[in-house]
Formats: sequence, structure tokens, C-alpha cells
Amino acid sequence: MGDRVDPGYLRYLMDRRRFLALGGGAALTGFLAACGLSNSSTTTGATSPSTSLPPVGGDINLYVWEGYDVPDPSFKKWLASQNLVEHVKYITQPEEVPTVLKGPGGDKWDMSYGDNVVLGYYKELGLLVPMTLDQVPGLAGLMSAFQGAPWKNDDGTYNGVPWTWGFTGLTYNVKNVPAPKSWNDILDPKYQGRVSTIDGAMNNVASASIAVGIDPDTMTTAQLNGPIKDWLMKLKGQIRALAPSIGDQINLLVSGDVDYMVCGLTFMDAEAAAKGVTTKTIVPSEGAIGWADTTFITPTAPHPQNAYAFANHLLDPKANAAANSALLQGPGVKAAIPMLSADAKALYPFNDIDTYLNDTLTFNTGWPHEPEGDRATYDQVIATWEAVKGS
Amino acid sequence: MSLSRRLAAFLLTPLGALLLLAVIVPLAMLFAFSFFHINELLQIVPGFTAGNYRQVVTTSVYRVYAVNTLLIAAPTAIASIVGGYVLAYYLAFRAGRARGILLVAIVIALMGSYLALIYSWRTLSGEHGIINSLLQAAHVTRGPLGLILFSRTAVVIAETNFFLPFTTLVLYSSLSSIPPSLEAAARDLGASRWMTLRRIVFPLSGTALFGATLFVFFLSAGDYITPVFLGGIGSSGTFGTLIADQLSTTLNYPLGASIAFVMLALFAAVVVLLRLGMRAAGLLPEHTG
Repeated sequence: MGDRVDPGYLRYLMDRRRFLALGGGAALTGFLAACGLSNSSTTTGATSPSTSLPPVGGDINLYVWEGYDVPDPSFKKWLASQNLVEHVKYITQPEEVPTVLKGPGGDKWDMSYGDNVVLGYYKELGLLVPMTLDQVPGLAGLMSAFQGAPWKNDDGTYNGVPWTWGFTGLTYNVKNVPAPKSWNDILDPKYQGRVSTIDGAMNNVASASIAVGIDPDTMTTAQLNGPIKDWLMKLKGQIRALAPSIGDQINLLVSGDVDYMVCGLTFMDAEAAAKGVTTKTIVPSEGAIGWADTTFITPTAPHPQNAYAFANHLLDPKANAAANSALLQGPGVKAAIPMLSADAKALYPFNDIDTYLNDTLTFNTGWPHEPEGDRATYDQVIATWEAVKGS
Repeated sequence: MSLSRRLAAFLLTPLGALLLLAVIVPLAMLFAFSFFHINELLQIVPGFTAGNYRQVVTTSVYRVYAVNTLLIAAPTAIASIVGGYVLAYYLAFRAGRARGILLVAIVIALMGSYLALIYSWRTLSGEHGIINSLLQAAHVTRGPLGLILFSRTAVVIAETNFFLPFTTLVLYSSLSSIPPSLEAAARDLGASRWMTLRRIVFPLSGTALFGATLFVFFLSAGDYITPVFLGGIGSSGTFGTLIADQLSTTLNYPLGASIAFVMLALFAAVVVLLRLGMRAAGLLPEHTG
């Protein structure tokens, strides 16, 4: 499986080539490149275990979430020890990842990220190459919650490395406001103008569905346009500003412009603390969306040997514990738990973590891109969020 | 064809080729894209569908975005032109020895990074920013003034801040070419200060006024960064952000292209209306192209 190119990705390339041929000429090619549509690279980078790879060292190109390039200072030492030089671009919204990877220059990235919501879709799009235990032995140490779809395929390969996880909850300024218990607590009129959220359809709609007691994975169009949209409209009435990125979410909390942050992350608590502001991110009583950030290797990775080495290092229990302690997130590797910092250990009930991961958090897997019965589609989710913002 | 015309054609060929390759062809391609659609694998499917344009015209939220775009771009253009004209007039006719220093200050204002300016504005006008702190310390307001951050007003103020130096320089270059003797002659012949401005100065700088207004209006309407960072939830969505969303979030290039062309059509309407309005007001000569 590892050395085969995903058929969907091939279809994608073929269509682009056909289109380019129709357009004719270098000028049109240049234009398409400028428009981000000419990702005509071949998929020769990432290879199967049978293919010999050059030794680890040199460049590694990461298109990743901020903080995941060097999650902990120890990673710098490891990179130096492997003679690796990182070239990094940060993701600002999950929706951007296909655009960047399929856009001009998208073939230069070795690794990127997807979570449980988008991983299956990224595979369909041909954005990732499944990896084997031979290539990344550390995958064997993943927690049981991540030893299945959408991370692991039926043939035993993995779509990526879910080395860190957490939840999309409610973050609040400990000094300024009381701890919320329910998602509905932030809808209290006295907090009008004290709330913010990220400007992203998927996270907000999924959180709203949890808030109104609907499983996002079975959400119907009627539910989306009914109680979920209603809840989002109420939320809109409370919101002072939308944050264009996670960094901006942190800025809004730190500057004191808002006190509650929807789509909050424990990572924000660590970042806010570093800036002298105490925030706390909680799972409201209705539950929260769980996510496992999964780094994957692209089919066009120019340095696959370095990408596999990086992926494996992320799963090293000691490195995994250090990274998740620094980020204040959950470790994807079970053996990392005893090595976590006290703060990171206090985040979750690690004595029964499997139950927590399976029952308390909802690791939703996204919405269909084509109609499937009465299920809400991806386009409808995007349209609903646009309608809420524009209403 | 005369020699000079042949020479002109020869010299203009590289420019013409560049224009063709960098503007005309991409625009034509974009126009073609606007009639295509995407499938579930985000593949662009060539064909002919007016569905994208139908969606742009019939989706109510897009109309909201269009109105918001206008409510940001129009006040920004007006504020930048009025402020820029006053500054340019002062520089051209009244500044005297201070002209050089003021021009340097305006050019320095142009040098600031766009994002740095946005973040500076957020720092200044935030809940605990300098502006709110001063207003509260002076007992002008009791609490933080919400209007100056995360609102349409904030976007207009910030964009005016960005565009004011541009309009000032464009208008200054026009006003400075008006001989001061013309103004003096008008006054000698009994024209009031306002009449001199209205009958002499405004018409002579009309072309620059026209160009600068459109320049600011288009840039403001197409801005997809400032509204996101400084607008509130009801004012952060514009045609610019809508196009950016299609290109970066949904990867729907055909829909993004059709929105861009609807926006282009609206821009063309603005050009025509402004030209007609300025001609009717006597600010633009009939023959101006």
C-alpha cells in the first residue's frame, strides 16, 4: 500500500493536466500556478518500506500548527542531533490545509496535519500516504482509542501519527468571570460582548451540536438548520469579535477584550500563562469535541526519510511526554503518561483514560461532501456558519 | 504607418505582452473558471454553468456581505479623500517651509507594515488600550468605548489611516501643479474663498480626485484582512473575505471567480456613477477619459 499512489490523487492530477492542456501554453500554466491549481508534481517522494531511503539529515518541510514544529526545547536538540533543518509554515485554519497542499508549491511539504474530522477526507483527496509499522515503529505504542479509524486502516497501515490530543472546549479568564458549567452559561446576557470564538465553520458547528445534545456525526440538515443554527445565533449575539487564528484567540483573552472563548484549547492556557494571564479550558457538562492532531506524510514529500524520523520521534514516550507537557495536551502514547508534567497530568483522568477518550469526548469524523440521506453535508455546515456571521 | 508610430508600437510591444500575459489572459481564465464547478474531491470540472452566478445573486448572506462592503468602502473613501484633500491643499498652498517635513512624515506613514498597523490599532483601541484609558481617565467615558474596536467604525478608521497618505500624495501632486496666481486672480475678481475652491481648485484637481476616490474605494472593498482583524462578528464579512474564503476554505475556485466578477461589475458601476456624478457637479471635464 505504501508505494501505491492513491487513485483519487491520480485523478486529481490527471484532471489538472488535462485542463492545462486545454488551456494551452506556458502563460496559462503560470496563471494556474498563480491560482493555486497546478500542483502537477509527481508522487515520487514518500516511499514504501521496500524502497531504500537516503540517511536522515538535511531539510524537513513542515506545514503544521504553531508550536508543533518544536513542541518542546528538547526537540531542538534532537533536530540538531539528526542534522535536520526545519522549514516551517503554520496552519491558521484546518480548512486551509487542502488549499495549501494542492496549491502552488504544495508539493514541497513533507508533513502536515489533520484531525479526526478531516483525516479520512484528506486520504480521499490524496493528501497523505499511509505509513506502516516498519516505517514508524512508534505507532504500536499509540493509545487504544487511536488504534482504529480514522487513524488506522483495515490493512494495518496508519494515515498518520495522532501524537497529541485534546478537546475543543470553553476557555475562560479565571480572574474575570466564573467557571462555566454548561455551554449555555456563556449565553447569559451579562456576558454580552465578553465572548469570542474562532472564525471556523467546522469547530463552531460541531461545538454547537454538542451544546444542544446532537451527535455531530449523525447531525441532519434539519437539526443543523434548526436547533444548532439557533444556538449559534444566540452565541453570535454574545460575541465581540471573531478570531482569525488560534494565536488571535489567545491575544483576545490576554488583552482582556473577551473573557470567554468558544473553541478553546488547553494549549491556550499554557500560552496565556506565559503572558501572565490565567485562563482555564474546561469540558462543559454537555461534553466537548475531541480531536487528535495527526501528522501525516504527503505523497510528494521531498524528504520522506526525515519525515518518518520526525514522526517516530513524536511517538517516543519521553519526547511525547515532553511535547505534551509543554503544550498542555494529552499524549497519544500510553507509555508517555507517567512522564508527563504535573500540570499535564492534572488535565485528564489518566487512571481511566480509555473510558474518558471513548465516552466523554466525541471524536467526530466530519460531514459528507455529497448528500447521504438526511445527513448534513460539509457545504451546508459552511453555509450555516456563513449565514450566522452574515445575518 | 509612420516611423514614430512604428517605433511606439515596437517599444510598447513588451508592455503589451506583459499586460496580455499578466492581466488579460488570467482575467479570461478566471472568467472561464466562473462557469465551472467543483466535485466532491475538490476537482474543478470544466463545463458551463451559470449556477455560481445564480448563487451569488440569490444567496441572501452574499447580499449582506455586499452591503457591508459598501458600508466600509464608501465611508473609507470619503474620509480618506476629505482628509487627504485638506492635507494636500495645506501642503500645496499653505505649508510654506513646513512642506518638506510634512511630506517626509507622510511618506514615513506609508512605510509601516499593513499588519503592524492593524495590530497597533488593536493595541491602541483595545479594552485596556491607550485611547480607552485616556478617555476614562479624563472622565469622557465611564467604560471602554466599544465602537473603536471590533466594529465597522473601527475598520473604517483603520483603513482611512492606511489610505490617507496615498490620497494625500496623489492629490498633492495635482494641487501643486495649479499656479497659485489662479487662486489670487479669482480672489481679485471678487470670488469668495469657497467659490474659488468650487470653480477653480476642485475642477482643476478633479481628475486626481476621481482617481484617488476609486483607488481607495477599490482597495477598501477588496480588503480581506482589516475587516477580519478589526471588524465585529456582524461587520467582518465583506466581498473580499468571501472571495478569500472560497479560495482558502472551501477551495471553490469557480464560485470565488464568479464572486470576483460580480464584484468587478459592481466596481464598473461605481466608476460610471462617480464619473457621471462628478461631471454633473462640474468637477470633471466632459472629455476626461
